[in-house]
Amino acid sequence: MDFSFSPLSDQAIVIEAGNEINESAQKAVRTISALLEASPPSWLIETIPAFTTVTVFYDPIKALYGTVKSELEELLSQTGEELAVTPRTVEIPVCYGGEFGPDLEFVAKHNGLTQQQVIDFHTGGEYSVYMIGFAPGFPFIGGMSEKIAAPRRILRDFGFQNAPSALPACKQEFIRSKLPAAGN
Amino acid sequence: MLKIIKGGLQTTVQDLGRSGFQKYGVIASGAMDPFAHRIANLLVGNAEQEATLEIALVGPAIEFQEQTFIAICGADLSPEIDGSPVKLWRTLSVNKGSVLKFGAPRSGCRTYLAIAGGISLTSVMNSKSTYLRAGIGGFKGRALAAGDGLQIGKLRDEAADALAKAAHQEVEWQVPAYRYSTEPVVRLMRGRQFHLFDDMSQKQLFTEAFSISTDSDRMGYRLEGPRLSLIEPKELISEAVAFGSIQVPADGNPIILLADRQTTGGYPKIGQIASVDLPLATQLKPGDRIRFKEITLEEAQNLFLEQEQQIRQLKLGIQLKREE
Repeated sequence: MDFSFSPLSDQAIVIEAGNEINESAQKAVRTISALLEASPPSWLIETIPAFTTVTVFYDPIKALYGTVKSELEELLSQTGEELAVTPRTVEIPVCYGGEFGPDLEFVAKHNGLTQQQVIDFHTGGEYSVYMIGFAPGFPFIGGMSEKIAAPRRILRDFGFQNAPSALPACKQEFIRSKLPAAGN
Repeated sequence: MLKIIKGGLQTTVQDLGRSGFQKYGVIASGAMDPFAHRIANLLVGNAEQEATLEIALVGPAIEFQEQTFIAICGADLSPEIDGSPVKLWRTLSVNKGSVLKFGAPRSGCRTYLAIAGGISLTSVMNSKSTYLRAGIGGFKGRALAAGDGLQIGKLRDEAADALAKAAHQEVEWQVPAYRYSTEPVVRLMRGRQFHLFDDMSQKQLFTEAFSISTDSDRMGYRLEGPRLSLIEPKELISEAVAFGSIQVPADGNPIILLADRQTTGGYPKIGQIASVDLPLATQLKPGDRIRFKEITLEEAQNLFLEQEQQIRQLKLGIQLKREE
């Protein structure tokens, strides 16, 4: 695996495992996280895995950037692939339409489908959780059929207090670019 | 027991943050000014990470229902006990029935009240910090309000004797205290996407002043000033952000991400505030201004180590004084 390193702050370093969202970057991210979890260095505080990066927060009293970087290089020179956790699959019951999914009709109309067809496409898919971020337990999910994609309107009520409905959570491309930023 | 007579603008329980759960999207929270928080704890003999009350701008009124020791560090919000002004950055003795109040803000925005023995609350995910938006941690996941009662930790007799002595000493601690300003110069490293910004924006970042907008809170400060723009529009892949990351959304107005920041973000980051200068930023109020000065990672890390060394010395000094 090829990685590049750069500082995020004076207490964090970013390991980049690619520059586009795909399965191989995702696998590398999982492997890096697994390697760090299996043998956590003394300076490690915590990690934040994302689509193509793992950000490692460290204690500069124990190690400065240069040391952290070279120890990470050493650690990542191991293949570690066998450590990468095989993702498990969970089945999530979903209530579609009505008060639980007020945008179902919009999504159906937008794609020229019946509401039942949208549900069938949506329940027929298998999705990958690429990362968890932004809010507690909030998954960024990929793999939804383009046939039920819909523009931003479906995110209109999105907020911290409102648990996102399944549809927007599946459309990670929207979430990635349109999330409200600090202060919202 | 502390009885809250008046909640103030936003008084929350905070410690040094919720570490280790950001990978699950759980934000760090914690004191906006970790330095003031730590010193306040040290002055009353607590561990640095013990919970304090973070008090913003308009302070609460608090009745102490037992004799104890406190320290108030950070912003000068004109604290007084039973009507008499008290000093910041000191060990103070409070009697049973005493009332702590605050007045006009003289400098800074947030002050930290540490109580000897700490605040007795159950930790949520290893932290007593309040995460307001999610209603997690602290006192019932919310800011304090009139009528609330907070249990405080029990003090050992020896600790009480030592603190009593400290409270009567007129020692000027060599606290490497900050001079909170309403237009500080804050040292900034280049952000991970600094190179994506055009020449003008890169220059203006370090030459112009930005003001803190009213749309600013524990999550982040929105800045107003020159609009910063990318050389060309670019869609970024979300990645981790940090305390003090400065990200720039499409409207060109930078946002400084603070204690209650989200764990990840997809906007380009033009800069990253050096850890030692974070308090200069987090003590600003809406309407204040901020300027940035470029610093390298190496310098930022050296300053951090120096400050940690000073805090260690202070800690020793406080211990020695108490044992005298």
